[in-house]
Amino acid sequence: MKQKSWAGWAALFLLAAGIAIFPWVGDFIGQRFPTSYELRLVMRAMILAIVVIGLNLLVGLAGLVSLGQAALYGLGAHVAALLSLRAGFSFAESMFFAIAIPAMMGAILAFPTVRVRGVYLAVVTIAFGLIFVNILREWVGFTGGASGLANLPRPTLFGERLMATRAQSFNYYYLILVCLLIAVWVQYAIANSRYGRAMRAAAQSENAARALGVNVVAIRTLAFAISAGFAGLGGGLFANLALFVNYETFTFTASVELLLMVILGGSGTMAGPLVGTSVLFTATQFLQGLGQWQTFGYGFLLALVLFVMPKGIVGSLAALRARMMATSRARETGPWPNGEPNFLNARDAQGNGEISALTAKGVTLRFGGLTAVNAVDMALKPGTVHALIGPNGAGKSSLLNVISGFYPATEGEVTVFGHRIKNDPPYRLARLGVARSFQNTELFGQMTVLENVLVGAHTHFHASFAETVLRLPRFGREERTARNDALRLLDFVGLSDFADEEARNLPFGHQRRLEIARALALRPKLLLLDEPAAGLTHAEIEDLIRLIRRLADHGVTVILVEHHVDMIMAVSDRVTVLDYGEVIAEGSPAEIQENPKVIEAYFGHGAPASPNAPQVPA
Amino acid sequence: MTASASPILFVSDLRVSYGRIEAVRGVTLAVNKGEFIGVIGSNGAGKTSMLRAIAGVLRPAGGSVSFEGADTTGAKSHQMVGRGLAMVPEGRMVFADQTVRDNLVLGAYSRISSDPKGVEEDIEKTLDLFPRLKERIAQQAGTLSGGEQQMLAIARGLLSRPRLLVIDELSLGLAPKILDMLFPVLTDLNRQGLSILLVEQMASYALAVTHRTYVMENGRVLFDGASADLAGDDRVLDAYLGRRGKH
Repeated sequence: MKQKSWAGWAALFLLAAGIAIFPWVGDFIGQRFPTSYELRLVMRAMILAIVVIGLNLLVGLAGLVSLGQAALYGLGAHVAALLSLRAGFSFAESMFFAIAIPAMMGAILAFPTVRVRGVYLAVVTIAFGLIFVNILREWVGFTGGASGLANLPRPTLFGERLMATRAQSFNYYYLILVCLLIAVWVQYAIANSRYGRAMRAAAQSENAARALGVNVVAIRTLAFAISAGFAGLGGGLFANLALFVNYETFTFTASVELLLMVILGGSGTMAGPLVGTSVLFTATQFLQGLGQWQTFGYGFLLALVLFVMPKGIVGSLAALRARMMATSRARETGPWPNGEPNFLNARDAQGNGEISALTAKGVTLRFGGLTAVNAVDMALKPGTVHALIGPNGAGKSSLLNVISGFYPATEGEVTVFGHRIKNDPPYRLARLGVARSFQNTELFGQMTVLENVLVGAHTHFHASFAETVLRLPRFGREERTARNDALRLLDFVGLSDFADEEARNLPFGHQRRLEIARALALRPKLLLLDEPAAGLTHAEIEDLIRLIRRLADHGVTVILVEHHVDMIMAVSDRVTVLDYGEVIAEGSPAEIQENPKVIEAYFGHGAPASPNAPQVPA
Repeated sequence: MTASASPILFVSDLRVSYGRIEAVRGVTLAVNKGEFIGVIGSNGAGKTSMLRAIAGVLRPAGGSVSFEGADTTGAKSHQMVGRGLAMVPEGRMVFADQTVRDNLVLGAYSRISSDPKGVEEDIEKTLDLFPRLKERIAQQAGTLSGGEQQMLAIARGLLSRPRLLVIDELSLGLAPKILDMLFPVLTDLNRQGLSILLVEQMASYALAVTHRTYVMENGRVLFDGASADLAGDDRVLDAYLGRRGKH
């Protein structure tokens, strides 16, 4: 792990050094090289790389596909051009707005993600791109139409001219290189922080992200704004390099090319944008010699590379590297729970005895004509384990969804620790201390086990975005604490050995335990577990029983939806039985076990085919 | 019933790995014609990975699988269905946005064009097996309860007219009453001649309904034997039946 990041930085340093030396190569070999044309090519490639890095944050991390990125790039270019040409802004001033205005536009573009995603979002971004180019072309008085905006003043910075002579154009060259390195750093800093983790989490399981306190609308808006900011930066740099802009550079085709660079390099990887941009940009230069076969060659190259390397160049190499290092350690774990998570030690064992952990009064949930939950009343004391049982389809999960904010109750009221839930979204309830697991496990499959738990701690990070990007001390402190806590939680559920493995590769039963660890990272006061024992063996269920008891002893209130009757009897303080959305019984486990109504609706009368099954009462 | 000794499925030294994980490390296992075989073991023991390799969902990294005497190592899952092996996957995986009937018809995908009448008859037969599905025949599968979805997954598997049914985690998330209904159905199917390979986390159920059981641990078979014997075996009682007072 450590070695890999070291190699990455070394490669980046070599690349940066290579680019930095490039203008001076001619001095060593005694030729006029590079020509100003070649110098410009490198500058244009670096500018594209900046834009592609921004797009990679959006596509690779946040999972939002944009096919209108060239429009944001163009917006930056035109803002820079118009401000310096028409308003006489300095280079620095116009660059500021070339970043800020596209960033704002990006935030606005994020709005459709509230409703649409995937292909539909891509269509929205295409529409934006088409409209933008159309405005540029037709609003001749403002943008110059097809003849564009020409004769931009040559940029100066701190009184230094950047472009006039060959030597001065070196200044601009290095300025672009610095911008590129900043972009690489920002990408790295975001990806390895709670922001990047939240972006990936929202992309891989939106429901789980919301349940862990991630405001997915806000995090997507942030991803869009940053991505557009990079596009604008690239646009501004481009305008001041070309000293001429018109719409032709920023059409739909350009958007497609930007996306291809992300995908070819390896979407979501750190080095992918640099590799993808270099390869496609270089290929384009070489293919120009092919005349009318240029597009054919371009398409053929793309298809070939992606066929051989379906995850992009960097992504596929990383996957190959992982496969080479096959491990053969045991996939099973020893008994758990081990140790104690920090937050439990810190917590006052009795909790607040006065306030009820949860009260439900007449809670009803209807979908159209179907009543999933019908006038349910419940009251939970803090620090107790409350089982919710009933036949499949009785409305247990629906009730959990109401309590965790996923469905607003049609009627009735739910109060959590004195707070009345009224259309509170899940992320707000998570911040009140309500955590949950999911019946069909909703892990972030392509994140590591440790990262999954770190997303659970999302709400406990306080370092601002600026502190995160600049890696100020508070960021480091919080990150270290969170990692330690997460590792302790993994130990608690017996998964320490799996910390660096991708969650989707865990056996199903381990995934259940990981969901519990992730929910605990929220430091919940109320924990909702939806069939946590499904897929566990008896021995594992006994471990789970001890874990739940330990949580309750430390004041965590637990609602347990479960079918393993043994477990319910062993762990619960109270049991509520639902059938057809209604409470048909409520009481201590012993009372419930004797209740004829519950036997009829749920336990059944013993199985002819399973004489050994201990969990079926006679 | 007595199982004839010729194996319908024979797995020899099977190895499965994906990514950098080696999940199955040399499993040998046989299902004889007409047998009902159980596989139990902890999470991570490699049960699901083994099933996936047998059913052709994953390509084994080593070893061999033979079905009805023919070598099927590395065969694709659609080929295995054609040969008479159907799998009921973990978590049921019904086609949620299609109706119950469409799910059943898709189960017969491999033979619907050659035998449409037979498929219709089989649909009627499986619906008699699960009357609850009959009531919900036009409903979208995603709106069924967990138990009904499991019934549908089994019925869908039966529609390819398999000679070996492979089931991964029948009990997952199901109420006891439903299980008491599903297990006898499997016993009946087995009595009618269907061979069944069942991976089951609830060992008590598996040991009660199957003829023989394999106990897996750490990617290997630890031991196997007649289910009735294993139900009283100390090693099984301790690890998989949750004998009280262990801890």
